[in-house]
Amino acid sequence: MIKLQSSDGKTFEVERSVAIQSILIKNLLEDLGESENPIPLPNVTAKVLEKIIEYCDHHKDDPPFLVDEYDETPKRSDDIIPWDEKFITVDQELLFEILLASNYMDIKPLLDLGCKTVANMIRNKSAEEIRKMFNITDDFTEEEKAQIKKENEWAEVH
Amino acid sequence: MSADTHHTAEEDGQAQGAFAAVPDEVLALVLGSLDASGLRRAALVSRRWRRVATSESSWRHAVQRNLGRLPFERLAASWRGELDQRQQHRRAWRRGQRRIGVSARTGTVDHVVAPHDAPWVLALGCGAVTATQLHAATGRLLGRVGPLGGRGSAVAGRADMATWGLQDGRCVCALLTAAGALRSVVWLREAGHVPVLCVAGSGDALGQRRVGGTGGTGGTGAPRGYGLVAAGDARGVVRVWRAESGQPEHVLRAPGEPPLLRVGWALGDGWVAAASARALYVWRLADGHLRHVPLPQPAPAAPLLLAGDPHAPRFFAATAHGAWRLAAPGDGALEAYAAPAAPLTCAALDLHHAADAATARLLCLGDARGAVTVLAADAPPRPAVHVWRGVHGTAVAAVAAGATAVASAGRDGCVRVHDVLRGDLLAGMWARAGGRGAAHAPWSRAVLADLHRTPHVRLAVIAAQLMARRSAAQWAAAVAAGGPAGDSLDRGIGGSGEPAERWDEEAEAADAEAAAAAAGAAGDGVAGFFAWAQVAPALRMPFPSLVAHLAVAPAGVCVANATHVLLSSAPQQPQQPPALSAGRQKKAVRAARREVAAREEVREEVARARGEEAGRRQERVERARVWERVEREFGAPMGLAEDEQVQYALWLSSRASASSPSQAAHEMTEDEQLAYALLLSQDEQ
Repeated sequence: MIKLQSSDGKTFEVERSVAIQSILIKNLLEDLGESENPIPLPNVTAKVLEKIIEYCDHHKDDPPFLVDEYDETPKRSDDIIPWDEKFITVDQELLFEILLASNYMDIKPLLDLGCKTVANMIRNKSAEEIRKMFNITDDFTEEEKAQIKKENEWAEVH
Repeated sequence: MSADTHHTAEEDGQAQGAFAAVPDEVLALVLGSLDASGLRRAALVSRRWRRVATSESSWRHAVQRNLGRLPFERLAASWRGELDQRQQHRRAWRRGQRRIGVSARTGTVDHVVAPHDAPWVLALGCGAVTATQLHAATGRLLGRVGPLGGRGSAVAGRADMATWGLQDGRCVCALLTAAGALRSVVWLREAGHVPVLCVAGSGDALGQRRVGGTGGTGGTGAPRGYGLVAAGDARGVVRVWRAESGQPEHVLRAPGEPPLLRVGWALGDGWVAAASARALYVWRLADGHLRHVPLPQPAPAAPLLLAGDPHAPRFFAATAHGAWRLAAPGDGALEAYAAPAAPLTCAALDLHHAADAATARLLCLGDARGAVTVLAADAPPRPAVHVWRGVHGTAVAAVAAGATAVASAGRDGCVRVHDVLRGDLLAGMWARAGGRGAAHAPWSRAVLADLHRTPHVRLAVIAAQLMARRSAAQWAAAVAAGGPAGDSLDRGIGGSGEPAERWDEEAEAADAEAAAAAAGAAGDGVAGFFAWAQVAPALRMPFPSLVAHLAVAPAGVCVANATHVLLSSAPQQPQQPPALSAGRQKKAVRAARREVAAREEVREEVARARGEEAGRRQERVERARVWERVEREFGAPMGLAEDEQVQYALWLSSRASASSPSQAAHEMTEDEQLAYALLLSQDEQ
């Protein structure tokens, strides 16, 4: 069993096969060896870590995530499996925390899932809708806007 | 996450909302999951998003997400360009005509060549030694050389040829006599934008042996101009000539005098290889060093492919039993690709993706069960990029790969085009129109003449059953009444509909099945194919094929059978005119009426003023202008001659002006819509 400690001090005990899906933890274990001390994860809160452990537990028997250069199946953002879809149906705040944590902990399939989910939220939305959804300020200057408009005139008709 | 990304995220301001903490590399992953239009929209969100959405890494992700991982280096200069280019090609294929139209008759076709970056195809015929250049989209005749020596001059025997040098948009073919001598070299070079066909002087007769196969490779950057051309013969000798002068350069002998069936070049002119049914023979030209590499196969099989890499000393070979890569000719190490599930029937090496020595190539294989496989040619153990199993009902007759698409043709004339990366079907077409069946030797006139000697009544019955064409019944009746012979046989069947007028007293009784084959050969492709399929085993002849050669242009295929080059074109513009309001319809119809009337007036006036001849000239000019416009705007409708197309457009325009506005937009066929859209665009001018 491996102990993981969240940023707010909570400790989780997980199986090794669950923990090593995080490449960060896998590398740490390989470098330092297993010990009784919990592995601190200063960037991950307990709420998010719990969610991530749920994901890793469900996927512990999956074949290794293919990062092979010659993986021939196109990865498309509409091929999310039902369990994952249910898992990732969370509020926006938690979704972004999972995204950041999976990036930090280097869990490629979860990062991939998070990216696909966010991409699905953005898909078919206009720039204004995207700004509104994620509370992004339009920081283009007037000149830049004019320039962009000029560049994209042809694209508007598509 | 690097300090740098932290810095930039903060620098872009506090107001990034949910994405404030997300590093650029993750944002790039997110945006990479979008398609091209999604990425373009994302670039309008904020400065930071613009920077990430226009970065190469986002576009690279987008290529992978949208199309799949490239088993080769990108073709375009940037990833953005790559995605744009590929999606544009996909759209062009999908919008393109799903028909294969008949080009101008080209004479015998033995090779067909379609450069991936130029709008023409070249059909090469060995029999009469012709090279015909056609526009890839319209089938218009661009240039032609041959028959060599002029009509009726003594061109002794059949020529064989090699083609090479396609990468730089040039095509060179060496024509060799059946006796094994280099007869001449034809090359096509581009002078400005106008391709010119040239014929070099004939070489000397060098040998008296049968030519088994020929090959050549690119003269790109080679100090010797177009480099060298080589031919192998039936007694194990490979002869190498200088392409431009026709001077003999080398004579290479394979031990044991095996019949050499194919020849290939690698590394410019550094290595030359020849294949027999059992082995490869590879020579280093600099010192004549020979390496003999037996092919590890259960039985001898004629090589389907022997191609060299223009940038590296390696060869690719395929026979019915499998495909191999000879990675280092020096040590003769042969690497096998995955064993095929069924005997291979065709193979092609795609060099479009071979920009330099490092980038990968695609190896396309077709097998007897109708499966098509595309492999990354540079590493045999890798899984196939794609396998399309059983996509053809018959054995695959030809495969070819383009930048985006891989095309395959079944022997029944079915042509399918698949996306190389995503594997989905982009277009399916039938190459059945035009031509006299396939380009197998049995389809030749000589065989036809042999098969003429048949019992006429049985022949008539079988032919009538086999052929669905209008003339079949008439022809059967004619045969029953008297019987055709010689030239009148194929004229009777070929579609003229006229009964045969000549009766050959010397016609002898022969096999009725053979006659059916003759009927098919002389008639249209489909009947010919099925007739041959039935009788080929009995006659111990090769199984027939409606398609002999296949080449892929960026958004069209070029198929050749014995006598015709058949082209599919993919117009860049949408074919359907946009839906029109009633007001615009009325306006369009009024404009069409005006146009027709004005045209009449002009014609009459010009005819009056300048006399009949001048009037006709003016009409020709005007027709050419209309036709050019049809072609430019919509891609020309296939299957009509230039003149017919103009007639058709004029006829349609007169019809459109006569009909009521509501009819104009609704009850129109595709072609009428096209003409209608033409009128609208003229109206707008």
